[in-house]
Amino acid sequence: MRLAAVALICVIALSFLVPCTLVNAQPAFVPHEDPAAAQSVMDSYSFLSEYADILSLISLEQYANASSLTEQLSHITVPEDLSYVINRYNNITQQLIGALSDLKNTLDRASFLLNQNRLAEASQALDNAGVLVARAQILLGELQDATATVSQRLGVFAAPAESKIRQAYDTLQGLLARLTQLIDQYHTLLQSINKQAEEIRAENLEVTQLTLKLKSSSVFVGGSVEASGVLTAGTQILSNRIVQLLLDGTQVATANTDANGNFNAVLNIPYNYVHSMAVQALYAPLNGDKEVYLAALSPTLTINVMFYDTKLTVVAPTVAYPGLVYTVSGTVTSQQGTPLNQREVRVLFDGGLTGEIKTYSSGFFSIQSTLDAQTKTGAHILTVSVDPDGDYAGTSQQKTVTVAKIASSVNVHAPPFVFLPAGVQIFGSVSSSSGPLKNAKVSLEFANISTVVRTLDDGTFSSTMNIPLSTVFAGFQNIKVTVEPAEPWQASAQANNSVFVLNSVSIAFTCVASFSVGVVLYARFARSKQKKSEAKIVIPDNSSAVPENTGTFGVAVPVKAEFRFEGVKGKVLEAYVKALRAVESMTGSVLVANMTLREFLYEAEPKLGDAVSPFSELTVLAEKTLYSPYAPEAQDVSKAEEYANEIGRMLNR
Amino acid sequence: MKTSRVLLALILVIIISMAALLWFFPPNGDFRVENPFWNGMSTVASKAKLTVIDTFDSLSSNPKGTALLLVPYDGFSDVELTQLNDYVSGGGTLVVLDDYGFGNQVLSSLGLKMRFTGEQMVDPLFDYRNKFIPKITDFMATPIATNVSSIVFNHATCLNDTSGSTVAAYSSSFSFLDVNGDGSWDNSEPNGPFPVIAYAKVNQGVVVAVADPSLLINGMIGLDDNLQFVNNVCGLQSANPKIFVDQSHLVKTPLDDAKADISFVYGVVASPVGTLSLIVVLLVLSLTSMWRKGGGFGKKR
Repeated sequence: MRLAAVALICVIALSFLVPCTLVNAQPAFVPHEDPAAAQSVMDSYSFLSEYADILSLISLEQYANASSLTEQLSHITVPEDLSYVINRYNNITQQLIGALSDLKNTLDRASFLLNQNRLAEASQALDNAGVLVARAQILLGELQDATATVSQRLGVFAAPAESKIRQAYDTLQGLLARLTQLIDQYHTLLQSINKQAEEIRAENLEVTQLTLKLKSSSVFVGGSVEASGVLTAGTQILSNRIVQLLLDGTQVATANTDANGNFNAVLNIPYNYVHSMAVQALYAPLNGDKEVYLAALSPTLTINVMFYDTKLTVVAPTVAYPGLVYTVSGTVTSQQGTPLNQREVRVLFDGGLTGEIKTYSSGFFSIQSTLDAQTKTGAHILTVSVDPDGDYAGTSQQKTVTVAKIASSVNVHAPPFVFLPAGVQIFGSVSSSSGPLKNAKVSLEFANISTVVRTLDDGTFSSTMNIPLSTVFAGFQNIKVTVEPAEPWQASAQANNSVFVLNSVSIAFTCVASFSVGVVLYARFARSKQKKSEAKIVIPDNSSAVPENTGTFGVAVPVKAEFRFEGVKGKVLEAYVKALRAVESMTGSVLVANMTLREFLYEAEPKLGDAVSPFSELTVLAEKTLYSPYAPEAQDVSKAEEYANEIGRMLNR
Repeated sequence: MKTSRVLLALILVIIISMAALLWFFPPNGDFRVENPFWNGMSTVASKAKLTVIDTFDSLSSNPKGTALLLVPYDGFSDVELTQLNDYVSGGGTLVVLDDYGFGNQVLSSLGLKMRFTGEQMVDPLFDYRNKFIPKITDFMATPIATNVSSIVFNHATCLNDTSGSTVAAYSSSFSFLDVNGDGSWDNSEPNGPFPVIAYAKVNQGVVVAVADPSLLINGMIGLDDNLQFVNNVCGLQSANPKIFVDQSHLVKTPLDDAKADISFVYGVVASPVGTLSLIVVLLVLSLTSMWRKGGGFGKKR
């Protein structure tokens, strides 16, 4: 039985615990794994494959694509123990791409310069290319070493020969070999261009000279300046030759030399508001001249580009409110304070154009814009820009504007005490510094009940919430009032109000429960009291216990106490007590606490007269009932009652 | 006391204790806002101040200025789809975060072309710890990308047919769809970049499709810019929107069912009729035994 009970309890307990551990079937794929417990794993095959792609792009001289891919790979997540090696590998790859790209460009430029007989510049480029070839070779060696190290750390060599990762590694090695060939090609090309340069040098072409003069060393932006010079080859004047004029390295004009070798050209200065530009003249021999002359590059002259700075003064709000108009104003002047008329001013809020206007003759401008109602609160960037105009450069200013909402306040009035179920009237008002807020949405939540009302024109609201009986027993409950103003520039507000709630059913339940407990306790207490009393004087019918002092009659009988008698034994004793009262009353003897029934009989005997005999018989019967195992019967009860009645009659005579 | 009574009392105590344990044990189901474990959504619920709804009836009648996060792991009824349509048409922002669930049912009902492919997208190089937890770093210039440089997915999928939508983010070019589930790229498997986040205007509202709902769970929301992303997506139409999260289309665990049963019982008992019935039962139980023992109160004296 016990085992069955334990088993049953275990089954019940386990059946309750099952829901805590079981999870139902999920969708087709695992929806997620615990990222904290996820093992950090590097996908070696993908890593090597991607680097093989990069090396392939390098070998195809697609350096921009290779660089872009390498840059992407620099952001991959790698386990911490591999991060240094992988980052270094990426870094070397990126450096190699840079070196090879530079080398290719340098060789191309050297070749281009040589084609223009610009031997000096070409020589400089070739020297640089030589350095780059050496650097590329060093970097390739490092990359080969790094590939071996990375592959070892990725466990490539432990993988079977036919595995994907080994195949990717083999591909990578093949591409590294192709890179070696590429660098060798560049080296060969360098040697070839060097040889070409040597050949040009060996031809002893005539050196040409080109001078350059500017009519003015300063010019306003958008203006022009006359350039002139002379092209010669030693003492020989070179006429009817094309001279290029370069502005910051870019050809902006050409001119033909005249019979005296002079050239004149007008340089138009673009509207680039920079303070200086470099001007050069270039003579590159063409056609038959290429067999005779070297190119000439004039000394570099600096031309000062002049323009006026524009001074912008902006007055903008530091705080703006969604949905409300804000004004940006200011003045546009020269540095000397001269107002600038008709200058185009734009206002951008977080980069988005919100307004544009031209300045008045006073240089003043003012733009009003409405801030988008959905603009998030917080700091935003307000940019005011003035477009460049002629000799005046453009300018701009940025201001930080804090988008905020105007604080709203809500006053709520609710009864301090609610006895559920009840209709609770809640009223209040919503206002802000601008006054009462009308048509604001007021959400009221109380005891899992919610309702929504709108404020009136004076900002007040009122609602009666019918709160049904709930599980709330008693205590303070919160009325949550949330206000969402109709105007986007007003902030929402919230207020809480405590209400003491009593639940009528709960109270009734408590009362009834208390009452029933009281009744039960009272009943139990009453029974317990009765039992205690009976324990002292009442011998129940089925009692077979004999007091230890049976023979000595040492039981103290609380004669004056109130007695309750039950059963047959009780009736016998009841009869004795009845007789005892009569005897005590008539004789004046009292059955005291330390006296046995028989001692009392002896004491009262001389005063009893004829009643001695029945009282003696009754005393013996009472002793027998009290102290012996003898269970009195109905006839004993009759007998005892007869004795008691007889004693009563005799003593009352 | 008889043994049977002791046993009965013990079983009663165990049942009540176990019911209390189930009641107070946090839900462990995926995407549950009450679930404080790694797969729950308690963190985002508190940080983004989500309002939980168990039925679309709870959606605001004026959806402007609100957003609804929807993880559709259970199918939708026609009525629910109509409610979602009304919500979006009325100006709400519906964010459907799905990988292998019923998101396409929603997109289809809203008349959108874009779909969740339902194939697992893995990224062997741009990932958090392993290829099944891909990082998304390629964001287009949209409001969703504000202050977001990377987010992390977890066993995600991707989108297709996004021609009529604005793609907000792509997976890396190293990602691929692991169609055969072997974890590595095979020649027949499409490789990235794939669109993973896209949105489209539907009447006055916006529907955003995100190819992984797992970025919302407690274990993921703190990674990279996931939380900022959630805020940006919800705030696509309005600043500081009220954000609802639907919990009625999630897979229910036995614990959820048990809690629902206990909740039902509790609700019945807590109702006025239930409470009164309980009072009567308690009174009958307590007084009957006394009546039997004593044969009535008066006779005991």
